[in-house]
Amino acid sequence: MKKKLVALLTAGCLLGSILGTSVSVSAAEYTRANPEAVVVGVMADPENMGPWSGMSLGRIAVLFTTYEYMITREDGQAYGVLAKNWTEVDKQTYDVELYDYIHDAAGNPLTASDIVFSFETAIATKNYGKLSPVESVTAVDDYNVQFKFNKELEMGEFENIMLECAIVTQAAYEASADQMATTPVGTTAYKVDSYVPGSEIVFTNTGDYWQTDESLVHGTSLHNADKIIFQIITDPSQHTNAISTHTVDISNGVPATDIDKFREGGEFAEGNIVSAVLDNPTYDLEYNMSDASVFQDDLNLRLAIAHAIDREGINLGVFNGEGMAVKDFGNSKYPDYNPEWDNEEYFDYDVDKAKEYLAQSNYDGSTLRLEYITDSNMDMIAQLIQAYLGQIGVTVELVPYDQMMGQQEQYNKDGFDILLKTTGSTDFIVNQWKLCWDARDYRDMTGGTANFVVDEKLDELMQACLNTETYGPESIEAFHDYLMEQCYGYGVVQGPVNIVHSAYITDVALDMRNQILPGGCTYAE
Amino acid sequence: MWKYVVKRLLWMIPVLLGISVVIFTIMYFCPGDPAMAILGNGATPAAIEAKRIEMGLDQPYLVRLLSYLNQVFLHFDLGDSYFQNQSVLSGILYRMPYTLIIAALCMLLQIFIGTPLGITAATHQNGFADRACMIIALAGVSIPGFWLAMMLVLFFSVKLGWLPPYGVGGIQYFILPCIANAFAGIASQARQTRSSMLEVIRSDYIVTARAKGLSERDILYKHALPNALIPIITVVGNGMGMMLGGTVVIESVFSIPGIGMYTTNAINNRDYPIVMGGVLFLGAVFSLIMLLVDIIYAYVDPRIKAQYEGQQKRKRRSKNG
Repeated sequence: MKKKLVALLTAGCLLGSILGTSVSVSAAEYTRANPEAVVVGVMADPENMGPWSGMSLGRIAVLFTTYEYMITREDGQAYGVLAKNWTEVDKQTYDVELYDYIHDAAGNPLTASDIVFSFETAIATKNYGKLSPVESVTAVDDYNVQFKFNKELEMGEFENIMLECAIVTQAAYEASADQMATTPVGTTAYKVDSYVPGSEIVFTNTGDYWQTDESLVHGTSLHNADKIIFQIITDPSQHTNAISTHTVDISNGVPATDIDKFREGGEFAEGNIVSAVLDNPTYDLEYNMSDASVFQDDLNLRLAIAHAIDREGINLGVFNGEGMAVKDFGNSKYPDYNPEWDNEEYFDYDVDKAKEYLAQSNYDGSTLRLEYITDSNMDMIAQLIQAYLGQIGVTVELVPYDQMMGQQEQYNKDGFDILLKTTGSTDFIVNQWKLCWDARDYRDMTGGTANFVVDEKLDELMQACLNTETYGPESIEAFHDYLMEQCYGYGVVQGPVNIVHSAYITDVALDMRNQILPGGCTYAE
Repeated sequence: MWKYVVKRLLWMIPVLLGISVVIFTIMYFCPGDPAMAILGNGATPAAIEAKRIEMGLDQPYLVRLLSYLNQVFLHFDLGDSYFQNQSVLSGILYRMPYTLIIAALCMLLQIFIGTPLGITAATHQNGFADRACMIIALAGVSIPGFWLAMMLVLFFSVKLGWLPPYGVGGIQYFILPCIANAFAGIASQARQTRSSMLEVIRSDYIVTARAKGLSERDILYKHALPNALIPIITVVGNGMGMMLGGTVVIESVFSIPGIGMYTTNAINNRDYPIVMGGVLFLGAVFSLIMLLVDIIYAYVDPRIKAQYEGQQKRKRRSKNG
């Protein structure tokens, strides 16, 4: 009797496995997670969908589906969204004209007073450092707004300010019981149907988008999907499972190690596509240039380290060669990047040269601390750097921190010798440089640039790049050359953003931060 | 008995006070600045300082601690999240059902699978069933929950397509998380039940029961099991604490928006009010469970009940003179 029971159970299990396999085969034929909606896998919960709650990984994923801004940016070029046009009255004053037929998803008309309300409320939250130059926002009439600034604006700064503040109508904001934390109402074509914190957000197309002239609708405002479901999947490996089981249609969270499974010949290639683009942030190395640092007066040591690291090797090892070994802090996607830099020598990998520089340096054999904010890519890059430097006899201790600690510790001059970090700008290479080298932003914390450099010439060159009157190829070239000459830090590599998606999404749209714009994607009929 | 319950409930106050002080102190000294996190990398020192003042983070340790304790214990307010523009209490209450459902289902699995496995192992000591049950139990205590979770997803979701790999919805969404979270508990339960039952089965009164001609079923379930229950209940109580703790990992793997994930995200963001509120809440739930376990002891074992009542009678007698 027992034997019969065991045999029956075994047969049942086998039958179950066979049936299960057949289910998975038939499931693979489906290319949509939900026939009525596009389902997007995102890595984090926005937690608060209110218009002015700061910035987070979860928020940037849904921001452009929820809200519109005065302008948008595509390929480095700024376009008006709510702003019909804008003019510079003087270096500290801008006039902005709005379209006179804007309304939000709840039907409230949007006028100049709503722009004033949005900016004033956003500034009052103290959540947006980029809005600090705004002195006043005044409604000139119903559709004209004047912005006054407390300083002369620099390259791209006006556009960045306009892109920092989400715009809502005062009526909708005041009607919300929770300051739009769970029930946001923006001027996009979408409204939130439901939000289950930590799980999913459902947007539906209202069918009543205010901008009826399609030629004026840019990527961030497109609304090609009728319904969008953002599913919050915090575990990266679950993004792989979600795409492979067709639970979601598109995701930028699939781990790099699983990407090949979705490429031709891969386990889950059927019905799926991988679209890859270069990501904005650049992984760069910055030397600690504070008084007590071994790098402060030792250009040879800085050059030795730079030449000892094979940037192409890091690209191959960490990104399967899909990234790019950069020749500055960015690439030719920036409109002011000089394409000729791609052909010049930029701390090229040369172990012998590195050893020569090291021999000429004052390096005493002490262990150097390499600090970075830990994630899978950073960990691998740091380990490779440790190995490369080991080749020339420099011992490196890895000092990984989580995001929050890393943000703080990067300004601790006693905490590290070399800093591996990512910096990313969405407009110009000069603003990418600004993130490291504009001492005015860091002087109170570091006494100099972000990595403690005190160098008047660097400051002058930086400001020449940022000033709208002196900005141009000459100032940009001068800064690039001086930074290479001094080697206070340098760009290492840029990684790819791999978007894995169902084949029914024929063209993937991304915003300036390379986040998926489901409304802007193109879908097969 | 009621006096005992009330006394235990009152004891929870210093326990929760202690938890509050410890967790507040840990978070206070934990590096990372929430103001900097909100403002991002490009924020100026002046903007960061202004934000810190607005958030009250510039106050000294003692001021902040006393203010927090005052807020929690005198005003029953866990504060507001730094990032979510929402009270921590409402956030916890919103997420509580998910965590409690998982913990309760895991508990049921632990009791209704672990106990019979342990009884089977004990009654077939050194036999095939005993070894099979103990191999399962050994696997249960050895396999990490997150690994088992991923294996279950790969098999039942990716390979077979039977169950959803993550998320929330109907009961099908809870099957894999509960199995992954309960497996270790089932194993502990089976091992504890086996050893308790073995001890009881060897007792003289069981031999007497057999000599009287009682059926093996009656001997097991009417005489042996009730006497073996005390250590089993202890494991169940501890297991509930483990289940609540385990949900932190399981909720992250399966993207279940429960208190575990709420707290984990808050730790990463240094959202102190949520972390402190979450831990305090779990501490309170655990204390209540342990109280419940003690009460169940009294109902299962008349000697313990008599002990509780005896203490009160003794006090009454000494008062009367």
